[in-house]
Parts: sequence; C-alpha cells; structure tokens
Amino acid sequence: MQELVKKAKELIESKEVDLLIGYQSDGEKGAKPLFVKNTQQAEKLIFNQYCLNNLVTYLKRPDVKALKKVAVVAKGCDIRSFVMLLSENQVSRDAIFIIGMTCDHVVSPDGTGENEKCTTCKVHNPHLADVVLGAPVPEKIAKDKPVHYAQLEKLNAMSQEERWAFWQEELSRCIRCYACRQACPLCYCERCIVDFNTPQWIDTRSNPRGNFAWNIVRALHLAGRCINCGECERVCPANIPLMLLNQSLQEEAQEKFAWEAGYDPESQPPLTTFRKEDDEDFIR
Amino acid sequence: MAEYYITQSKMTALLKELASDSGMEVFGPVKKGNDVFISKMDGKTELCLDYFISVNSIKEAIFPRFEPILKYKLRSEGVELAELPPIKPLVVFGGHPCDAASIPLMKDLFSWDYKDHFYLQRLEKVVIITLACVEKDENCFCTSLGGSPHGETGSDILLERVSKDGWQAKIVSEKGKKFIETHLDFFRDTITPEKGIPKLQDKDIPVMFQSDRVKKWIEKNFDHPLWEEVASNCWSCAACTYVCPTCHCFDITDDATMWEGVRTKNWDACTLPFFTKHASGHNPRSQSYERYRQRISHKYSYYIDLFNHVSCTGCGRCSRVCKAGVNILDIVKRIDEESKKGEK
Repeated sequence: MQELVKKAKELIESKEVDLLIGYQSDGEKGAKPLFVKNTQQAEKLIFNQYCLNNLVTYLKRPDVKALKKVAVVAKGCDIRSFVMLLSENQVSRDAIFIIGMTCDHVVSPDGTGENEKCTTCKVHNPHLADVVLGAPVPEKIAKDKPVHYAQLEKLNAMSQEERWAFWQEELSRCIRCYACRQACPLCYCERCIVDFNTPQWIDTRSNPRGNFAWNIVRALHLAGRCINCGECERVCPANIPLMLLNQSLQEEAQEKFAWEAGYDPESQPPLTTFRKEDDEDFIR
Repeated sequence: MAEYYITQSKMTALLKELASDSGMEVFGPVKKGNDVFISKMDGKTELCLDYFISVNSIKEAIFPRFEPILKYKLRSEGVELAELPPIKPLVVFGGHPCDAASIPLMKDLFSWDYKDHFYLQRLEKVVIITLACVEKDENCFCTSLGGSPHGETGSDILLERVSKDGWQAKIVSEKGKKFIETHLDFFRDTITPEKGIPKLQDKDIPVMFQSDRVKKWIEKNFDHPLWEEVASNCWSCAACTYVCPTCHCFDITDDATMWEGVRTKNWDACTLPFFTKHASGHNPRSQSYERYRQRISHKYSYYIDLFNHVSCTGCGRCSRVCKAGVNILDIVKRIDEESKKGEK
C-alpha cells in the first residue's frame, strides 16, 4: 500500500487537505477507520479486503464539514453514497478529495468468505474519484442489468401474516441505539425524526410500536437512495437483517423508476423529482 | 457445607419451568446469528449454553430498556392514577462475573439522591446465576478493575464448570441459598469433575493499567488533544452504552392522548448527539470525541468521586460491538501511559 501512503503524505504535506480519512489495521483480520492529520499517522494507512467501513459517512459530520478540504479513501460502493450526497447537495465536490480504491471484494461481516454485497457490485473500479489506486478489476455485471437480491425471495414467498411475525421477532431485539443511523452515509438529517420531541413524533421506547415506526421510517427515508453498502446491518448490535428492508425498496425503485442510486451525480433521485412519463399505477 | 451440582439439561429444564410461570420473569442466553443475547424467555425459548459472552449484558433484566413509571386517566372528577404492571420475581441466568460485578455499582447509583424503587425492587426480587469464565478474548480486562473471571461480586449463585455437561453451584448470597433449596431436585446430581475442563485464573487476564493513575490524568487533561485522536472515529451511536452493564442514563418521555397517558423511563446515552442539546440549539458536547470523553471520564473519574469505584467492570462489550473501531481498553491503556509519563 505504498501508493496509498505516498498519496496521503503528498496531500497532507502540500496542505491540499486538512484531514484524510482512511483505514488502519485492527488485528490480523480487521480494519478500522483512521483519521490522518500528519504524515506520521499516514504511515498506518492500509487497504485490503477487511476494509468494510463506508468512510463516506464521516463527511456528514459537522466538524468534518467545517474543514476546507477532506480526503477520503473509498471503494466503488462507498463512492455511490458520495454520489448521492452530491446529487442531494450535501457536499461540495471541490471540498472532497476521493482516493478511489479498486476492489475485487471485501469479506463478509463475520470475516468468512466474500461479502454478499460484492456479488451484485457494478463498481469494482471507482466510477468517480480524484485518483484511483490499485490494479483494475474486471467488472462482472453489466451496468444496465437490473439488480436482484436473492435473499428477498424467501421473504417475498411468505404470507402477510408470516412476514408480520418475522418482523415482529426481528425488530423486538432493536434497542434503539441508532447505530444504523449513525453509520449510514445518507442519514444526514441535522435533526432526526426521532429527535423531534415536542411532541414526540416517533415513539422512542423500544417497544413494538416504537421499533416498527423507527425502522420502517428509516427504510422509507432511504427509498431510492440506499446504495446497498450494508453498513446499517453490519453495525447493528442486535443482528437485525435491516438490508432486507432496504433491498426490497431498491428493487421497487428499479422496477418503478428504472433507478439505481449512486452511479450518476447528474441524474435526479426519483423521489426528489417529477417526470410526466413516470407511470403512476400506484396512485389508485 | 453441602456441595451442589447441576447438569446443563437440568438447568435448561429448570429455566423453562420457571419461564412458564406467568408470575415470574426469566432471562437466559438465546442465539441469534453467530451471537448470543441475554433475552427474556418463555416456556418455549430455545436456550444456547455454548457461548463465550453475550452481546448485551444482564442489565436489561433489572433496568429494562423502557418501563412505565406513571399511568393516568383524565376523568370529569379529576386525574385517576392507573395501576402499573407489578414487578415480578426474576431469574437471570447466563451473565459472567463482569455482568454481576455491575450490580453493586448500579445499586449505589439508583439508591443515591433519589431512591429508584423500580430498580431497587427488581434488585430485591432477582436471583442472579452467573457463569464463571472459561474463555476470554483480547477485549477482556476485568482484573484491571479488581474483578476476576470467577469473581462472586453481585451474583447469588456462581456456576463453575466441572464437566462438559455441568457445573458446580456455589452459593454466594442468602437469595441464592434459598433458590437452590427451593429447587433442590435440579441440584441433586453429583458430577465428578472431569479433567481438561478449562478454567480461567486471574493471571490469565493480566492487569493492564492502574485505574487511579488513569483518574489522575483525566482530572487534569480535559482539553488534551489525545481525546480527539483516540475517539474521532466514534460516530456517536449508543451501541456501546446500551450493551454496557454499568451505563445507566435514561430519559423520561410522555405518551398521551386527550384522556390518558403513560410516562416512561427510557434508556438514553451520552454518546448520542441529541443527549446534551439545549433548547436554544446549543450543544455543549457538539463533537463526537467530546461525547466519548464524557463516557470515559464519567466511568473512570466522576463516578469514583461519588461512589468510590470505577463504573466499568472490564467486560469489553463496548469494544466488541463498536464497528467504528473505538476500543475502550486501548484508550484507557493510552491514558495510563500518558499519566505514567507525567509522573516521571
């Protein structure tokens, strides 16, 4: 990873960026975020298949936003969330230096084998970056091939009652720690809906009503926006399969609007725009 | 004194029997994915007895995630208070000595300036059955805080593994004694201790810092750049505090319609950005490292001033759940090193 360390040192030394966010190793089979402000810290930078964190999430933080320019190490999937931040006017392109890493795959959250999300990845090679590091990786899926998540089939095959029971059981473990929200690069509201408390909009108790309200509202707020980085599910201390909700809505967006989030910064997300040619068969 | 033993199958049967009784609340280890959670059981719950440590602590059995503290109805004659659910006798099985060690700490807090009778009543009614440790990982540091992998503090019964299939039950408290006597049938077997059953000694978890030295440094270094360095990657969720056996902050919320309402005590966390936000919009802890500094300073300094004990048992749960890579042991060790440098 000499290339990465070299580039980082260059950016820091030249004062082109005030901060660089990358990865450092965390034990033999692990990696964790690293905030780099000097060349000595840059020595610790790594990139490998254990670099699961989507570091773009730190760009939403007020103290990071306040800096003049920030560099971030990002995989193609992470860059998709950056593209969404751009098209939603949450970051200024000039304020961020993207160090794009080519990536064949990362490991699954439990460290065994290939991560499920990599099997549907169309951006092993970063599609938007200021510099791309690493050898090119052959893309396995055509850009225009619709997404399909196999794990949804089991859920879709269930009856309504079975699905209700399934989610009741899964969401009962939610402790409302909001790790999903904090890790999500696209949950950037300055004041989250659960923090509106005069009156309380969403029940903050981790009872069935509160947990359903919270998790469904979050999923709906990500409809047509979620880029499948899988961070919410990975960071959930209660092991709730949150990506089932998000992927289900991704497929909806694909089917209804031929839309996949995070590829083209020029295009407008379906829920922030109006097009006459959209069929409106859902309005009855 | 008589020796008591219990096999795994008898323990499972006992817990299931107790959990079938609607007059009781029983918590035990349940597997979900690759992890185990201390969960509320019913008569049908599948227990998992083969695990290293649960993700959550036993905290939520005694200090629930949310709990009604007041219910009322408005009548033309005035306000009528409604009954709260009764606090039932509890059995909590499956924590380790680092879970149980939190009990006296939490008791000090909840019986301090205000006597929290919800917590204190549960504490009176709970029987805590703890498993002495046979495994550890790199996040364990109970011995650095006076704990032990076979420590008895806070438990009513301590189970020490003697065979692949069973434990020797050590009575720690009067409540524990009564529990065993009441359910003597389950504790009658004699198990001959097998060879090769792993047992963790104190020396297996070396002491890694001195908490008094850590406190000294924290007192003098509120503005030290180290805080930002070690905790800037914290993304400010509450996973660490909610799995922590000793984090105890809560919020009070009201849920009301025109004619009735319920007031609830609800877990809250100093690591969440909204926790200290003022009505004016100002936030005295506006940055994530400032919030994390509060978490550490409360545990390793302010709490000692009040109760003469570090409010951390060294269970390592916060580090295990943190996917942002914030590691409490690394941070406290760093602080200890800085403090040592200052002493020279």
